[in-house]
Amino acid sequence: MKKLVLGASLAASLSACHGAIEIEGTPRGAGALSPLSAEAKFVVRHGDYTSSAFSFLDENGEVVDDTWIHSGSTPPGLTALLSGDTDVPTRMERGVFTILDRYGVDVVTRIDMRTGDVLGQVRTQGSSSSAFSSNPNDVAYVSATSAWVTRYSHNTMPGVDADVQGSDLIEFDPSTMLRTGARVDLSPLSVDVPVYPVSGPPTSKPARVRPHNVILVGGYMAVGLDLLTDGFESAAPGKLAIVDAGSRAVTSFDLAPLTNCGSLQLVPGTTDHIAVTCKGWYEYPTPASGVVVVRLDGSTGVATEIGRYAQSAFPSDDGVFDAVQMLDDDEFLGVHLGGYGPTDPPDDLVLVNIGTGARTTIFTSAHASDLLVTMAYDAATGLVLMPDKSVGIRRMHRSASGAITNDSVISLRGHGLPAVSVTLLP
Amino acid sequence: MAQRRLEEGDSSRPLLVRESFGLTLRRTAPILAALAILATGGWARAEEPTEEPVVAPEEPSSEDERGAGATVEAHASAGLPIAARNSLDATAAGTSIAIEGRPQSGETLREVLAEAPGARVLATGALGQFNTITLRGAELGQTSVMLDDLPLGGPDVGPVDLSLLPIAAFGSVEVYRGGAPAWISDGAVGGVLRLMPRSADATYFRPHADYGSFRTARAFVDAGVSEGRLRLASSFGITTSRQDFPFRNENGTLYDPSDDFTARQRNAQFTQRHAFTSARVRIGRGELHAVYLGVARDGGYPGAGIRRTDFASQAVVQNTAALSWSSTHAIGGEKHIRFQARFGANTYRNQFRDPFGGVGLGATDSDDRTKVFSLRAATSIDVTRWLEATAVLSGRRDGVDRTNHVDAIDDPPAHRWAYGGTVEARVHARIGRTRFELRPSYQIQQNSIRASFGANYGMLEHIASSRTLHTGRVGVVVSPVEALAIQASFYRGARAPGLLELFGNRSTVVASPDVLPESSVGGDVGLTVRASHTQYCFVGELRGFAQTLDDVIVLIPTSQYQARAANLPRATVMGIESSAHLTVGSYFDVVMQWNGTRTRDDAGYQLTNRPSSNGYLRATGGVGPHGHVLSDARLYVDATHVSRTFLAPSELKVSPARTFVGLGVEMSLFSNSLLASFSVRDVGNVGGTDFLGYPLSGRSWSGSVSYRKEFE
Repeated sequence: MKKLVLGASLAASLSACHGAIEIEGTPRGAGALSPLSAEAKFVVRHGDYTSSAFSFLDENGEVVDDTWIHSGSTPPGLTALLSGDTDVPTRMERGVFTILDRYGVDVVTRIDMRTGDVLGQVRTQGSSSSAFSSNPNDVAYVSATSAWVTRYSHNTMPGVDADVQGSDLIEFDPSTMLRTGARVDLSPLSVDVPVYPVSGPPTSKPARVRPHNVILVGGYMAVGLDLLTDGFESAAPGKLAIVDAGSRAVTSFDLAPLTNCGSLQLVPGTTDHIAVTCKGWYEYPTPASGVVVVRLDGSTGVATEIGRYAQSAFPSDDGVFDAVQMLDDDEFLGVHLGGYGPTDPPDDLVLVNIGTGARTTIFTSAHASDLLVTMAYDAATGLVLMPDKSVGIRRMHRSASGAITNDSVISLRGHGLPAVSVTLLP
Repeated sequence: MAQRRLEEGDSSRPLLVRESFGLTLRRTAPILAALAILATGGWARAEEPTEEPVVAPEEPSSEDERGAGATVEAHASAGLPIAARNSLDATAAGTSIAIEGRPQSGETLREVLAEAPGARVLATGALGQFNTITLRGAELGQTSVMLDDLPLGGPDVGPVDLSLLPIAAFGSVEVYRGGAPAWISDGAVGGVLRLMPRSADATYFRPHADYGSFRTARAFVDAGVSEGRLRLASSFGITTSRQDFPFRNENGTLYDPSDDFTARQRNAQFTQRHAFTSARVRIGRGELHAVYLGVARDGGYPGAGIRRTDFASQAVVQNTAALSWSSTHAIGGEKHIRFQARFGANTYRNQFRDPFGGVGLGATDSDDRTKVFSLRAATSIDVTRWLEATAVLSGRRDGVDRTNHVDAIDDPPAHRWAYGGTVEARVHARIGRTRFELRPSYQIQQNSIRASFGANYGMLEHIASSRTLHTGRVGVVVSPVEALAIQASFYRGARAPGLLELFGNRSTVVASPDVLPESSVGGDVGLTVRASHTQYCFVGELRGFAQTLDDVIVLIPTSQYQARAANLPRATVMGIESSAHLTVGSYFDVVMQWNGTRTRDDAGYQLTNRPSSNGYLRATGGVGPHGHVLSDARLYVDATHVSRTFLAPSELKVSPARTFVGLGVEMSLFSNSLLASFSVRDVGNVGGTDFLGYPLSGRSWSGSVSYRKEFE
């Protein structure tokens, strides 16, 4: 208990130093994991769609803990400890590691990285007779007692309780790891779109709101929305939902004609610039994909577009960027995916200037889908870490002049699972 | 009991003879011998006859006199066969398991196959849910399942759902690991499960009923006609169950036990019906054999893990029919030529409804139909007294018509053709008391597939491919004494991905159109020991095996409680398999099998769903023949052990070791005409989950009554 209090106090003080959320509450899995052996700056997710594992790196990309937690860390029950569909929030609390176990499990887990104590787990839905999975995609920590989770799925069963409805944000209290019952319904932002079958006239279907990432700026939450039909046949033009964290009022910011705009990230070096990645949709990917940079006023909730790279504006750009990492307001690194099969061409990592469309290829992978990953960039050090399934984690640096150099490779065991994402920790 | 046990579990060439006609050798010796030769290669003709019987029945029952008596006489005139535990090939790693005479109430094929060395049944949940067999660490679908010699599944059409197959339709099962005998092999990597249709040994009528936990009720009627040239066996039955068993639900939060609760399974109810008929008619020098097996099941689909649905449902109808003609002709001296021609047809219809996407990733209202037609012609000729040559030509066409009423796009029908041939030589000789047999075989098969399916939500993806697969086997057996045979074989197996792996089943298996063919090279060496006396009978086998699997197709669970097919670069499997069967008079009977398996993928991790060891033991004690009213009473206890198993690649998701204990009692009344039995399974209520996260039922009980009326 002494260790617990000490750990909590330490974490709370450190968090307070950085203006982040204090850790409170009683751990429910005290000592479940070993403490991290040193302070970490990056978390690496390993996965093969069946299992997951997480490793940690320091500010230089050196290994802190290889496979700190994985799907087999405890014996399974009806589910494993971690499924293969896990992720971490876009922004985490300092000292606390949050895992989102998404489709089919629907659990948010918080772990104190300094003690290894599991601070708690909260399921993002109640029971559903239709086997509905809410699919939590991201968490925004608003205060010590308030965190909001995006629920990506939409329950197609009519007449269900809001608890198992989806297409929303729900609140839980991080100090107790209990849901508060508060909910922000985003489904009114749904629109109807035409669906084109192979033969016959088009039909109209609702494109459901599927909230993906959420980023807190001041008193407002920006929520990236995928707007897709239930059968995933078609997508509606993208929107950014702006939610007042106090009043829970919702407004939207139009991203048309881009579609599939759920992915958000805070532009490095800024506190209120949000980059939205729109991946387009399968039928017409290129005209509807791009990157939009939006400034969100944290006091008024007003969003303003300050930059846009639309692939339709650059016909020579022959593919969708599948992974985007902003470097600043003007440049991003993106992956041109070669394909998915063993005979498809390899992937390219490309440096793109948003204003001019100028592109520079940084390197080409060995195989297709090697770079179907998420990378991280630390603006303070210029370090870029990018998983490459054929070689490990590539360590690159961005110089003051903006040049990207490919330095070395970090090897992680990952319990046999390939590294698929790197995320910067606060 | 001793007599019957030995024949059914031991070298079953005599069994095959008996099952073909069930007549005494005096009356039908030429035909019996011809059929035995046809099925097994005529080992006896080149060998010196022996006067030793297998075992002299102590007090043969009426059934023993009919069936076993023929066996003893066949042995006496033709020589004791090389010790083996299967009916087709003494060089093969095959084990025959009799279904008649087992003491368990409410038994299913899944439990019968627990006795087979090297075999493991994988299930997606409790009774009424999909289950199938894996052999020697091979993956699902790498085992061919055959109704006699008609393929029910295997390389072309994916794994067979054993839960659909009624145990009442079969007289025995044969499990061939690794390379299978050429007569039934289609090159499967894992081996062959051969289900032998029930055969009529008398004219009889047998109603049966059982009832058990979770409102499980089963009733069927068996009937047989054995008159003149006709042998007819039929079975009709129905099974229904609620399967509303309790299980522990951790609510997805394994680190937080405060929200755990005990749930009761819902929407797992089902009703299953079956009809089976096997008719054999002897015409001249040949035999016409018609067999039909129809099964239908409809019920709920409960969902997996913590995601459960009250609305998903499935209805499956499967029909299998075969018509074959076999004949034998003398070509001089003791030489014969044998012919067989067979036409087979399978239809499979799977209607799956999941209106809210609770099982899969989206709403489904599908009606998928599979039709398979096959032709086969085989001949076998005695080239010399020591050489027999066999040739088999076969062809089949699989068609799948998939409809999903929810999709904007219907997938066009998919077709698959497979045709090829097999040649086998059988060299057999005796030097002094030592007998030898060598069987090299080679098979070539051409597989073509043409299909389209919806991809990327609005587009069609087209697949057309053609592949030639080469497989083969060399088997050898040396029998220095009649009680011992030493076997070895080397084999190569291959298979193209099946329709299930390519296109999924809309529920538990998702489509994986990029899966590549797999192949394997392996070998085994082992021995079979057979010993018998008037008071006891023992037969056992011990075998070591090793094989490599390239591009092995595995079904990997996804996060959505489904499985998808994928290729592993290379895997190695090696192990030891053993089984034994000891019978002491009519009083004591022990069956056991144990496997130790070491599997590794290219990264050195243990393969998923392959426990390093598993075993089964059943001990049965009885009072023996005991008078008219209480003819016999038997008490049994059995135990099934499965060691720690990894449910996901990279040795993640560990399923702990589990041991399931069962026990029961069976009473035979009124000269064995009335049987009553009661069984308790999983006495320790171990339960747990299957490999996809579906809960198992835990402790259950079953009681049954059957009555057999025979007619002269």
